Amino acid sequence: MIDCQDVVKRYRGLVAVDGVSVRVASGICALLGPNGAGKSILLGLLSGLITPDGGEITIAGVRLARSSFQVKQKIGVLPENLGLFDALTVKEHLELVGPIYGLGKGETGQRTDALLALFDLERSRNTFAGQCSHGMRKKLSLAMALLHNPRVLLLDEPFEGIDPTSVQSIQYLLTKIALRGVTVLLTSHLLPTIEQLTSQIVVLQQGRVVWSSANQGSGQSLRKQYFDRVEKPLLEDLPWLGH
Amino acid sequence: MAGTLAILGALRRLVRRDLTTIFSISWNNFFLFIVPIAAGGLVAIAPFVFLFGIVLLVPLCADPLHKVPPSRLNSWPLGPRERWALHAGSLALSPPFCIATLLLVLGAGTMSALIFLVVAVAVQGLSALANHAALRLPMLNPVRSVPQLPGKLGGVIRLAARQIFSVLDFYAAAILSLAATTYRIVAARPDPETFSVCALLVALGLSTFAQQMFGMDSDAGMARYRLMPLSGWQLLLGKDIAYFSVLTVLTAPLDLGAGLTFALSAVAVGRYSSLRLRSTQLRWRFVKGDIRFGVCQLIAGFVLGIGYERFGWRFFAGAAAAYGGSLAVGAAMWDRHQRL
Repeated sequence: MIDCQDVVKRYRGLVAVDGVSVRVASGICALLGPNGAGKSILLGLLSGLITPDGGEITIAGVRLARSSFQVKQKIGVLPENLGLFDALTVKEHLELVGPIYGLGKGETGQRTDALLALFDLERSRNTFAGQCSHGMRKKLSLAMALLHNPRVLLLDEPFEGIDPTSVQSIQYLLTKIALRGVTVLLTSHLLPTIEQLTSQIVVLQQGRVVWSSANQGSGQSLRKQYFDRVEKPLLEDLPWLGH
Repeated sequence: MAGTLAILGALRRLVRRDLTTIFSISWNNFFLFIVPIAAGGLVAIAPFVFLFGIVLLVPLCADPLHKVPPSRLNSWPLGPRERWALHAGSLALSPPFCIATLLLVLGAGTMSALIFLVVAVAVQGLSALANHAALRLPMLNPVRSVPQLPGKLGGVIRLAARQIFSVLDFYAAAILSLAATTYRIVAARPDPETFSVCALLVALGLSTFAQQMFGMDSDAGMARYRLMPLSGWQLLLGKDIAYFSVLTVLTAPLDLGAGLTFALSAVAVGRYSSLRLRSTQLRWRFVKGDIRFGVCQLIAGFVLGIGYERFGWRFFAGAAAAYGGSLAVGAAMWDRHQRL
């Protein structure tokens, strides 16, 4: 469902994504890595927001370079900057995207109500996005990604900054829709959550894939494997704090 | 007291930056229009200066202390005396206080300075009240009354219309339209030629916005547009429909044909700037345009608008053709460069 081969992206001489090849046939795949590893850029490349300097991307059987329009109809994206408009309310964001994906007014309304209930956004439905908290904004952006029933989901840090109850709801929902054939690629730093949820893990570091596994297999916790293989935490005291 | 002084120092910088954005009117088409008129005497531009004064009063009267997020301000360890000093210092930094002081220094009289201050305080109070009401009772917010139109582009049109209502250009154009319509209704024998001129001025008032159709969309908004399965022409048309609809309402009581002729040419000329020279446009400010495109918009708008008035529909058709061409070229530009 998601296939990228030798994808390269350079920014002012710096290689942000360096020959990355990832294939996610189905299920939920997590992109891990330290800050600045290139995870969000790779998601931007896969969603068509960023043009690659090299390589080939295929989403749901359609080559992105050939028909980005067709790809856009099949994907749901939670972008890094959330892609919201301050001048629209929570409900109006969903009303905006429904018709664009060919949904009728009634269907958009039904799905909107269901998504707002799921993400506990019902009381904020008439609040302008600019006045919402970061967590609410993220949940709204996620609801926009799901509204049109996409075949592929590309989610940039869907669990960060969200209340635990909503995290649980999102985890449950992603598991269910993955079983129904939706392919999910997400980035996150929450290793225990990822360990529970995903069937495949890809770790990026400095724009390159340093570790990829269809299943973790080794019996060790993801946290331990990550610290061993990617980077160890720096444990250092600052003596001037607390005095 | 060092903390209070540090906060006041930061506030002073914020007010200075804010004033720069408030007076970005110097790159607005309205300003480009009145500069040559001012050469004929200041009396000729007095109505326009008065109009700017009224519209600018709202952002100018905002309390500088509101620029500090309340959560941050309340978390700082400031005592009652320091907080009082902060409020006093903030008042001294507010533009209306400075203008009133200037009026006193220039010898305009204590009474005029006092009247100005009272008006400023009243405007600030009303503005705060309106904000409070909009937050407490969202249904009273007039911006929310823009309905979602049917069809694929309905949401895009609603969003674009709300963005137009968030810039001061709209309010200047609306005041002009209201004044001219009142004249039409109230005057015993109104001069019919005045209406066409007023319609052109109303269209001129909103023409700078046509250079920055995406100015109110942040990078997040632009990302959302790029994710939507919409062709370039659909997105641009959605934005344009909102623009023309607003102008239709404002110029219909005066001379719709002349107003729309100006608007079509303004959008056609502003298309390139809108897509390629996008800069972030702040809410409640005049739109900051580009002088090159502004001059072209003024010339094209007045030539075609006056041509329509004198010689009929051919000039309207010319403006419509230019608009159609700009839509086609703009759509191709969007589709070609829509990815970063």
